[in-house]
Amino acid sequence: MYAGHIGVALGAHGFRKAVPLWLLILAAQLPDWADAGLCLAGARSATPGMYSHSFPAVALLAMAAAILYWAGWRDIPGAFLVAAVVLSHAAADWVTGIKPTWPGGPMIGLQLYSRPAIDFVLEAAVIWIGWLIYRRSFPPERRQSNAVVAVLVALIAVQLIADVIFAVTPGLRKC
Amino acid sequence: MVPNPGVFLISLGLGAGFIDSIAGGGGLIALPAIESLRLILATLGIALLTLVLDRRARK
Repeated sequence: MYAGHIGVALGAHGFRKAVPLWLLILAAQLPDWADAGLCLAGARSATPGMYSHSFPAVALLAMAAAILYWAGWRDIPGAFLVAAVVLSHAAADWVTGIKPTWPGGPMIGLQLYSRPAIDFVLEAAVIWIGWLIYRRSFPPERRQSNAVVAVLVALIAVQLIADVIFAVTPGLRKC
Repeated sequence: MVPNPGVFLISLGLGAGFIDSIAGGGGLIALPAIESLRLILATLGIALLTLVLDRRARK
């Protein structure tokens, strides 16, 4: 999933405004950041994503993110929310991609990236639901403002561009 | 014509390798850094876009 992760972060921010949006976006993308960092460090596993998207990797990342958030903000419900947002990354990626489970375990996922139209509908739905919750963090009179609607429109547009790229390219390597 | 043939050849190789790596090949500098750069740009780009739009919406 791509822009859908941001939709989850938006929804989480609407659910608990005390947790900063930048932090929730970072949490929603954390396995991808771990992937990029490991790639830059040259720490490649034989199975792509094993160190960043497998069950144990995502569990560790969620725990680390929750502990760091708790250390900085002393907000236990917020820490659980941050952990849940990190875990959501893996759940979402199992729908749109194929990811490892554990060392020696099977690869699982629906690989909707190979069906960009379905992927777009699904990710747009996640963005839309997340945005509906996020919108609640604004005063009622501002929820329909152009600037608030622009968040939804921009994310769906970015996802559309991503799905067009998926449709015309044979597959982009992450690392 | 070419002030330093060594520099020219290395530059040519790096340029060709860069184009090859962007095109998805396993060229001279198809280093992990080049591949992961796409992921970083895509991930960072959408994050920054969202934060900018959120800030604008809250003004």
